[in-house]
Amino acid sequence: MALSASFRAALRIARRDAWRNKGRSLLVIALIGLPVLVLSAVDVGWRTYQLSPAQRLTREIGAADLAVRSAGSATDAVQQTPQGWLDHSVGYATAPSTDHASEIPEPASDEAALRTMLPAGSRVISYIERESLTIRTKDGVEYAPLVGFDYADPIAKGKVKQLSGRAPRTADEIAITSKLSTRTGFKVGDTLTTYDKKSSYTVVGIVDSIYGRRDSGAYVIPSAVEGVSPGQRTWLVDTPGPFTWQQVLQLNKIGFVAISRQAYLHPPPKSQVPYYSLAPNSGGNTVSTSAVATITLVAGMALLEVVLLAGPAFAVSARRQRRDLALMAATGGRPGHLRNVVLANGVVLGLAAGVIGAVLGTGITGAAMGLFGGLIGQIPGPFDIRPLELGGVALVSLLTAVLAALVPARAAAKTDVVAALAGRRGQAAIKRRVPIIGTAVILIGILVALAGGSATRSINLLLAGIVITEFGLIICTPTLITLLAKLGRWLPFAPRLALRDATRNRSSAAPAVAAVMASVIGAIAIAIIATSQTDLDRRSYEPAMATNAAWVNDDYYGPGTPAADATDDAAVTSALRTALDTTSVSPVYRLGEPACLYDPTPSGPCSSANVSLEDPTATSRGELTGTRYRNSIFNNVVVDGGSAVSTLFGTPEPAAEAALRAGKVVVSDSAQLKNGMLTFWILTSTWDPTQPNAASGDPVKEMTVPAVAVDDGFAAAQAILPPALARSIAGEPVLEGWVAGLARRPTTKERQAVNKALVDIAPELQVRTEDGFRTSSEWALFALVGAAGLIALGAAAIATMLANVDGRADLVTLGAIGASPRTRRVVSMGRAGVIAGIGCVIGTAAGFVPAIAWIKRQALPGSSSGVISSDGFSATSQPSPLPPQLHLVVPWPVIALAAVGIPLIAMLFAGLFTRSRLPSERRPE
Amino acid sequence: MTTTSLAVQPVLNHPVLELRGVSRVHGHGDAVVTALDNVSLNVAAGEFVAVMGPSGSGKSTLLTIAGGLDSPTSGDVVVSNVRLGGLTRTNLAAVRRRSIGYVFQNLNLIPSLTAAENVMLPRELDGVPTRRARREAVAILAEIGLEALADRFPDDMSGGQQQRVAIARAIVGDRKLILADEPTGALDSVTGEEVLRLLRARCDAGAAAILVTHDARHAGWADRVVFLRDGKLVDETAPLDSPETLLVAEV
Repeated sequence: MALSASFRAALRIARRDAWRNKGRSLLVIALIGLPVLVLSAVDVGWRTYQLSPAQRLTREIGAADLAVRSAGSATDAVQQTPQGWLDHSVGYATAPSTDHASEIPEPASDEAALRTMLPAGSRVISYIERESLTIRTKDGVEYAPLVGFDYADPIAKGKVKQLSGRAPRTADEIAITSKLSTRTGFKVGDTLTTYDKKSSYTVVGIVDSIYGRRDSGAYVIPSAVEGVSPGQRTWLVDTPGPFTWQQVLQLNKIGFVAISRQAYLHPPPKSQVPYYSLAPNSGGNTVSTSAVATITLVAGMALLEVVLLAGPAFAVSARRQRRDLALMAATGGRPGHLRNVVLANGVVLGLAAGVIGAVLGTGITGAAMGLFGGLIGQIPGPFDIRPLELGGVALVSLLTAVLAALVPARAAAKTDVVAALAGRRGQAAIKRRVPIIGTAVILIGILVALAGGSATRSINLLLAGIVITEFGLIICTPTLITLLAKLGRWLPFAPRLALRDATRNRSSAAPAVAAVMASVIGAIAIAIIATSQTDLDRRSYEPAMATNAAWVNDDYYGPGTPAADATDDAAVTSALRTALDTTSVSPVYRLGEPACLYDPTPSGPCSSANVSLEDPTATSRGELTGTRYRNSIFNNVVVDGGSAVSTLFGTPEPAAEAALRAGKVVVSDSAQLKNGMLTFWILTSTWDPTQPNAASGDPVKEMTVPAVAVDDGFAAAQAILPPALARSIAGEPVLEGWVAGLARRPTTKERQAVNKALVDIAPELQVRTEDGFRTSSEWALFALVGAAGLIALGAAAIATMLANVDGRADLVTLGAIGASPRTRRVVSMGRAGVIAGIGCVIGTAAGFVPAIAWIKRQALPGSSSGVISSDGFSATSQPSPLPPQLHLVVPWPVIALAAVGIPLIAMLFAGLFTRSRLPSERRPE
Repeated sequence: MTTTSLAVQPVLNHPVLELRGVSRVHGHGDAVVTALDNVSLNVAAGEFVAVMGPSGSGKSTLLTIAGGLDSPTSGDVVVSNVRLGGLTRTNLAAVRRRSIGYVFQNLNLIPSLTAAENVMLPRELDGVPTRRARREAVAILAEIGLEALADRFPDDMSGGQQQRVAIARAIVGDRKLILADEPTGALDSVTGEEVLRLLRARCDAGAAAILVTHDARHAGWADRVVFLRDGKLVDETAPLDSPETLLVAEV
């Protein structure tokens, strides 16, 4: 017999008890089943997305026996792994990624060379991945990768999924992915025209790339793209027999990488793979043990929280079963039998939660795969359920439930039978050594977190410290409640009764308080760390322009090519003024450049001039004209006649405007000036493009001019030269772009409108705005504390309900001696306030420990500081050479919400959900 | 010290329960309460003893000590020749499972178990296979005419039915000592009589029983009535004529 008769009896009682108390059982099942639901959903999803090698191979090479790419240079030998460019993209030995496809020459001899290596009777097709296709849409412009691929060929089967229509057959037909179809509105039968109107295609089919529904792309027949622009070509080969690894190695010798069906599905031993002899560690992916430890610790903390939350529910069960347990003892139950009855509650509810969680999790993933599969990442494989894994996951809830029932079970084993039978309460006193041990554990935890975590920079020591501290706090909680209850004599009736009740119901109050504490510790720690990090980010943020400025030019990555035609000036200015709420729009110029710089067929020598504010003979590092000033998006040296300077600096600069109009230079740093004069150096370089190796030795010319400094505002450029001076140095200044001052941050609609207006003027024009440092973390913090608050409310609710049930007799007495009906509500509020209050206040205080440890750890030398990048539309920023340090910044509103707000809300809820009527004495039936 | 020993010496039968000079004191110092004061009492097999006395006289303490749920401050308790004093909690539990059955005033049954399951509980706790335990329980229920109730839950039974099921649980597994603490206290008089008739019948079938009661009419079912006051045995009625018992009283 697997289970002893007595344990079966315990299980029977637990099962029936769970059924009789459906509400409480559902609560516990929801609590401990939720992690299982999430884990099993993740497990099934992950397994479904984990493709078998054969499935992955089909996605890569279709039905072919072999796929081959040129590694770039057709003569150099390469090395590769048997599973080719699919799994391993390290080093030179694998195929270049398609990002660089356009840079790769495509020797015409490639295919001929390849054919000589293939067995007789092989059939070869190829596809070419091109740079993006620019498509004219009714709203503007859309980009999509273009592939020249006859995917209808049997060799290609499995690489592209035809949704409707058919594959292109002639050079003027095109098939587009469903994503591109949704984006552009093109359907089968429509005509698709490129932006330059040079080509147009008839849409004949809608397809999905096998890599995912989110992929935008278009397919034409290979001959339609050949000779248009270079791209990555892949040959798919159908060979008469298997293409062996040895044959792949032969291909490697003449610069081809290949995926062979044979070698992919049956990889050769590592000894036969020369690649591994060079890079022995690249054969597999290893997960570091420290990462595993981190995951274990975090998962352990989450489980601990669930155990603590479920604990009071089991304590309630045990409390309500008190008389049953006493009866069992009277009929001969051993202490072990009584313990088993309570543990059996955990077993029954844990198993139920495990099964329900696993089934629901699987179902949710199944439904989600059907609805959204392929929208994120690649298209999933067939639905993959591993019963053993799901069973293991379900055991997690069994473990949690049994752990949660452990303490009440131990208490049940010590039930004072006589007291229970007589209807009296029995509560064992706390052993004196318990709080001492708890305090010691807390101190050890703090020590480990602060000293260990910051000294060794080990995140795991830090986490371990937090866990140890939490355990210590949990051990101390009953003592703490008892101590606080002693304060009760100075309190008014309701909180006094609530405190005393908490002491009497320690078995449920203590885990509830601990659960509140644990969740608040986590929330406060994360809130403090996140606030400190946001503060650091704010201090580290370097704007690219003055706040609320907009910059229009034709090159996202800053200075370089000449701006759009000056004739666009009026059109751009008007577009900006129409679409955005502008305060000013001005063109910005840079130093002139000779036309020979852009002459594709140079005929003679060419010279250009640069300006440096540092003596290039004294230091090798001068900020030159072409470079940017610090983090500014503008050139180091800007040319302006006074109209743009205020917008560039972001503040009204009448003095600078007047200075520029008067022909003086404006600098951002007053240290550059001596007695109102600026000295700079002009570097002229002359070279002959027809004789690239001829050296040029132009002298550096020093120049001193009157200048003013602008010390306030955004340092947009190191120097702003008046046009006349710029003209004398390097000829006519070149239009760089337009800077606009905005009255406020543009809305999404305004951004789209200005984009469209600019694309209509010239498709290369881009607009960027500087929105200043922006963060959404404040709301996230309140959401975090809100989540901790929900846990606190739940824990307080469970414990309050129990105390209310246990305190019913007191209410009868109160009613009898004339207490007002409101008393019941007030007492209930007091009970909730005690649970939530103790947990929140201590949790808030304890939350500082991990936060301080974390900040100390980050502040150690050698730690990386965050690099901030605002969204792609705004300017990006870089960390300054000496990154600012992380300081402790306390989010006081969040702290106040956690320490005061949550207990108040818990009390409010308790008040709302408690009936006012006092119970009256009823004789037991 | 006043000795109030009402030693009852059965001649033919060995006593199922022997209390020898049992005292039970709660608390220390000024707060000391003597619940039982040097009580000696023997109950023989087949004997039905009623214990009467005012509230706080120690009646319930007598029962908890007799059943090993509580231990005396001094004196000895012997059940079926086993001295309870030296036993561990686990062994005490085993004695309760095999030799003693309790019946309380109310809420005797575990609400989540059916009548049969309640009755078989002591046997299951004793490790008897579930199937056999159930068979025995149903047999006992049949014996006392309650087999129809076997699969009912306590909430679906009347108070009298619940008490009779509790008596069935007290005697299952051939236990010889029934300790009943006001088993009729929550019942109307007719139902109460039924419960007492059942107890009487079990004694006539060979069990020993102690009945704690307030009600003199109920005590009338007993072979013998002993009186407790302030923890002392102060009096006893004359024994009913019965061939099995010969009583010797010393006052």
